[in-house]
Amino acid sequence: MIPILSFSEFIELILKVLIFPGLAFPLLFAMIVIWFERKFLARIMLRIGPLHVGPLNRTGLFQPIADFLKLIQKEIIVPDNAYKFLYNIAPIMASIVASMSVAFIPYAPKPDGGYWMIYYTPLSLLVILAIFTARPFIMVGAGWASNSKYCTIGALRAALQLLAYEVPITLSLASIVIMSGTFDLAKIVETQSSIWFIILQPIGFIVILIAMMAELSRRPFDIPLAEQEVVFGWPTEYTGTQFALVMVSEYFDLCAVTSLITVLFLGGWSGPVIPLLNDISPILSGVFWFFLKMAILTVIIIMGRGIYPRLRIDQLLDTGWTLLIPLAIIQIIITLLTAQWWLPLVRGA
Amino acid sequence: MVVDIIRPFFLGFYHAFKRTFTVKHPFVRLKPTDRYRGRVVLNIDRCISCRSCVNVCPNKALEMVKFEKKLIPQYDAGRCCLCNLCVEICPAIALSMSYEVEFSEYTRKGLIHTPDRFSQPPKPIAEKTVTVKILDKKRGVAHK
Repeated sequence: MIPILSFSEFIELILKVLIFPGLAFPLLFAMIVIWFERKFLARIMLRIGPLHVGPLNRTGLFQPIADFLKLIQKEIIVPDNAYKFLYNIAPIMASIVASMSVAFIPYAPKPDGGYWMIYYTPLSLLVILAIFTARPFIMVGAGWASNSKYCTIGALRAALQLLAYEVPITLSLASIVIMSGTFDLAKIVETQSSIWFIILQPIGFIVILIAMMAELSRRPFDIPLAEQEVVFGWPTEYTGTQFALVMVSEYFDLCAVTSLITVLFLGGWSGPVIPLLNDISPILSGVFWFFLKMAILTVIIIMGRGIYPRLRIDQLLDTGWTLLIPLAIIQIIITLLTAQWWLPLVRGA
Repeated sequence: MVVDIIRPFFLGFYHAFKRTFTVKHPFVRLKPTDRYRGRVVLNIDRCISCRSCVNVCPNKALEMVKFEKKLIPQYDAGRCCLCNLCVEICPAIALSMSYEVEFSEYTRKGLIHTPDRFSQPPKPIAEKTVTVKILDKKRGVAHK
């Protein structure tokens, strides 16, 4: 049965779906992060980066918008031998799947109880895990449907890498679930009100950060998109708007991943209340702390691209199977052995 | 191993706030070094119409034309490879290299510098210039 919403609830739903955790937020996040990535990496390499487009003098602030406008003007080229249905639908699916997990992440508590999230479910962690698991299928599908050697090799590499790094993610999520005793992300944040899980589970945090970087195929782990070896991996054949969607989906994923790690390890919205923001709306103070933690994680994930050398595919799989999985298991064992010590801290008396 | 993983973060942040090695080109220009090879400039008063520059030019960028009752070389910037041979061979020291490198024109004809234009002195350098100097021995060349 569809619940009948009151007017204020309806307005709130529209706000959620269209603006804050919904449509506008991942797009804005992608735009800002693309600009920041280009500028910051340029500064690390002692270059200047984007310069001309935008309002502020010589910052290139609107460079992502200019790039996007350029891309949507271009012709969409479908290769002759491609399997057209899958080829055309894959970039759309990629961006939808990437932005979908944002709907299940609680961004702030509401003053009247409940949380600022699009869809509340007590099993939100499992749902997000399921959404992450869907990503390799899109990559493999797109690579296979393109029917070109670089795309096929890139797709197979993506399958190898994403499978190898899904296991440590799941294992380190297991220790989180053991500690908090729930799959509900909002409850997980509330159990961290006295102490954040990054302090109780530092190994798990490091494992999940590295594994998520690999899952996003960010720079030191960019085997599926290796520009030096396979031109651009599985999205090589895409042009114009489809390429823009693929690129944006990467940043939607980054948004979802940083939100998830913030919720799991950095205590979500918890932080001292800021009076100025609290006067406008009690939600904003929580959202501010959430954004700050997301920003720090984003900087760490982006910096990897500028400072680390790339891994070979065998080194990459080695790291996943023989280093991260044992570390995640060690974290689970430590969590189970020290249960008496952390139980009063996390779950109260 | 742990130090090797963490240290690049600090190095990265340190570099992010350092001065950039590249410059904002149209607004700021690198100061040309000595013996920089840009557009060839002719001093008409010194030219003795000996044709040696035209003979030596490997790309046939120079051509003798009539100018004020005198045969004077005309310069095709589109053909010139800035090899400095004409400057070296000129017996009257009438030719010299300048620091101008922006030859772009809308037409092919616009690239041809008639003796009148050929003899004009180079445009002054932009206001903001930066010199390159070796400061950081570990990293090689850096800006002052």
